Amino acid sequence: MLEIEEVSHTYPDGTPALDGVTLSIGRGLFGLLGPNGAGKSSLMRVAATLRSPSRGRLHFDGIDMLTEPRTLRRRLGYLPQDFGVHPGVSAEVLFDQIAVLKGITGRGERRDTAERLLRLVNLWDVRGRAVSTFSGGMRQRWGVAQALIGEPDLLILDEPTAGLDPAERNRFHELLFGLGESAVVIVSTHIVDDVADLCGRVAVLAGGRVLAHDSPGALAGALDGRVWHGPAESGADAATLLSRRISGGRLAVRVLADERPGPNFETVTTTLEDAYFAALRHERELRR
Amino acid sequence: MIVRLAWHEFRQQLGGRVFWIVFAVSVLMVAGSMAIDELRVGLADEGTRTGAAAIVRMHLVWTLFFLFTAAAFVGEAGVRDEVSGFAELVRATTVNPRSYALGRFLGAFGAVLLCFVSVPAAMAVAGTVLGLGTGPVEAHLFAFFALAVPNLFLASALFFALTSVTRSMTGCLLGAAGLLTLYGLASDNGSAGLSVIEPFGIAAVADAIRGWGPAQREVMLPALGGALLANRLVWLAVAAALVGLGTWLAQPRAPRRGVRGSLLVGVGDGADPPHTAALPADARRTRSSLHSRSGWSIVGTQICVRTVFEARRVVVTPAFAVLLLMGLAAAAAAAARVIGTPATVTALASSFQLVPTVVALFFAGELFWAEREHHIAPLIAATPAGRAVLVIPKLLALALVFLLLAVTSAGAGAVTELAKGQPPALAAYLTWYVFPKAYEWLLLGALALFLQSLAPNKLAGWGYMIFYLIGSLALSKLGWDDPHYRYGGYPGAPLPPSLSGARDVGWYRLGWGSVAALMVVLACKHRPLDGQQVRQRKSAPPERASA
Repeated sequence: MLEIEEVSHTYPDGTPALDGVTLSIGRGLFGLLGPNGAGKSSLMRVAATLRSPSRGRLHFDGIDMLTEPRTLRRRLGYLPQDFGVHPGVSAEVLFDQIAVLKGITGRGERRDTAERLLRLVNLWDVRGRAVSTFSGGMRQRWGVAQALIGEPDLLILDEPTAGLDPAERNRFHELLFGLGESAVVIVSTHIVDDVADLCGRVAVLAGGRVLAHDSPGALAGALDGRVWHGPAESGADAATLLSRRISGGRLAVRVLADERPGPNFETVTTTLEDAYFAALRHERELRR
Repeated sequence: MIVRLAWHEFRQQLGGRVFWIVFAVSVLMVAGSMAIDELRVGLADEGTRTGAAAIVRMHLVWTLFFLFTAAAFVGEAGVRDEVSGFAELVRATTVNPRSYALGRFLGAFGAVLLCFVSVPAAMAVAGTVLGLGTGPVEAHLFAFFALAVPNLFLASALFFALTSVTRSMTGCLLGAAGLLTLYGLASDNGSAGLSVIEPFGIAAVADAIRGWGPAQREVMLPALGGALLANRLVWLAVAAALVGLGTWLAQPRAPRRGVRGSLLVGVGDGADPPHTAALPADARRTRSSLHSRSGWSIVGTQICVRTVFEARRVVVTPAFAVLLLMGLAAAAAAAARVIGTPATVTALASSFQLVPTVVALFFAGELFWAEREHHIAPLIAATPAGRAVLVIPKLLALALVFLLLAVTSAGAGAVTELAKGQPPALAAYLTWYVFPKAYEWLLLGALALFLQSLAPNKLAGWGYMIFYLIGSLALSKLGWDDPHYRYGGYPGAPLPPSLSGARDVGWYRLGWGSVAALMVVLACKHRPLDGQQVRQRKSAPPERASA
């Protein structure tokens, strides 16, 4: 269980990144949703012990992550949003280096780990090639493989499906689903569908604060009967606009309202995306 | 467009710390050399400090000192976009890549020139403060425009071409080191007859004023004609050709092949992976006791594996090969002039110094900043490995490299002896040269790593080290050579005690070795790997937000 209590962080230039974030995250897949600059990556870095928060506490299975970061890192797998590699160094050699630093010092054990995980992400056949020459998707898969070294029971994946094509993304979902059975897996993404499909629980972040957190079904279900779909030109001024989208060559909107907002509006099944936009809209209105 | 790009680059250079650090160091050193004779590194007795000869000499010597500045400015301008990934965006615009490269070069060259203004400015201000006046204006103008500007243009053009060819800072630094080595060799052999072919005009000026009395040197300037004019025109033409070459080569090219890799065409992208649903059971079956692993044996293995990895990254580089070859040529040339192992070791100890110094300077920066430069730091920072596991292998890799340098240069001396029919005393080579020199150079490597750990970036770290090296030369000129306070010093240096007859050398080596060890410890503790605010809290619980 990962316990994040009242975590706040402000950058040296005064920019607030996190503001009193409190979350309890158990085994399974946990999704972090939020717009750009919401604080998702900052929270990921704090949870990965790469950045000390200005305030707050973090514990993982009884480990105080702020006083014992190296103990936590023995159980951590981390895929940052952006990472690079040494130019010209093969996937296998670079993987071997990370494995050594994670504490796998036996040569045979490292080789076995490399084979198992590089096969898992379908890179074993190209293990001799430099990672710097990989495509974005291949590099991302290599990043996932290195995050799985040592069978971590806290896995933090920042935008793991960025750069993956649809087929790779589906395969990656399958992989994540399996990992969630035995570890705490935190996934940050902009893709709401990824979270809705995969995660047992989800938190919506904006402005460094947790706006909502629950299961995707519960978040969406809280809006049942209040989300309406209709043409943009019909006018629904009294309703709260959730999203606008081109649909069938026409601009359509989804709005939040207790009553039918206009004659051409129909109630629709609510989704996690509706809940996400509703949370952001509510936050914006509170700030006004 | 080129002018706009040049202006953009010029402003970018002026916005960097390196520009102002170099500017400040130049002002301090020039002003210091004006005030204190012993600080006049590389400057002969040229009469009064603001006389025409002194002004000319100061400009000539400082254009040599500015080789590394030009390399840093021009090299950075050339590789910055590639390293940052910005180049892809630029290539997607309508800007001609050659115009873009030329604009960058001109801006960087402008920054080099402006930075060099620190030299005449410091001379004039220091002269005024000392009551000597600013010196003749025409001497300043002649020295700056006829000597310094063409020299700096040539150096910048060379580094621009090297950057375009090698697409790395390495090319620039090698060029600077190579030029300095050539000047070192040339100074051993005199400069007579080099008026036209010596690129920086030092020989041409010396020829032009040969036979002048002190009074003439004080007020007269060499005529800009004859061999001096030919020298200037020839090397300006060479510089223009180098700029042309650098501009011509500045076009999008495919990235280099990896060591074992090939260019990417999506092979393996679409293949199906094994059925990943098997992972959880597989993971449980193979779940190791990694989570509780720690201890000295693991740290030892980590350091060994990392050392081999780091050393490979130095030894297989073209930079190291070129440096080694240049050093071996200098060592063999020095060894060829003497007979017998003691004399050969003495010659090696004196002649084979620049290469290890450049290796310590250059590769300490390359190794120390590699993880951050290549953006792999976040992955490594998330591992349980401590800072020492990352920093100590870098020092050990340098130690292996220095040992390799010592063995190969000793080998050059031994082979030279054999070629002259003299059997070399191999044990003497090992005990007098290989081990002591490798240790001395390692001390320098430890200092270079420590300075990099203090620096905000690699260029600044190189600057700190160059400042240390020039400062060491100045201290030597002042006669402050006592091994009690000169880092790495020992009685009889640079000769081993067997040849110098000095005693208690081992204690000095032990003492400075302890200082080096302390610096390595500090380098391990000084900065988190990824440059972020990572700190391990002690025991007190953090303040609650609500408190």
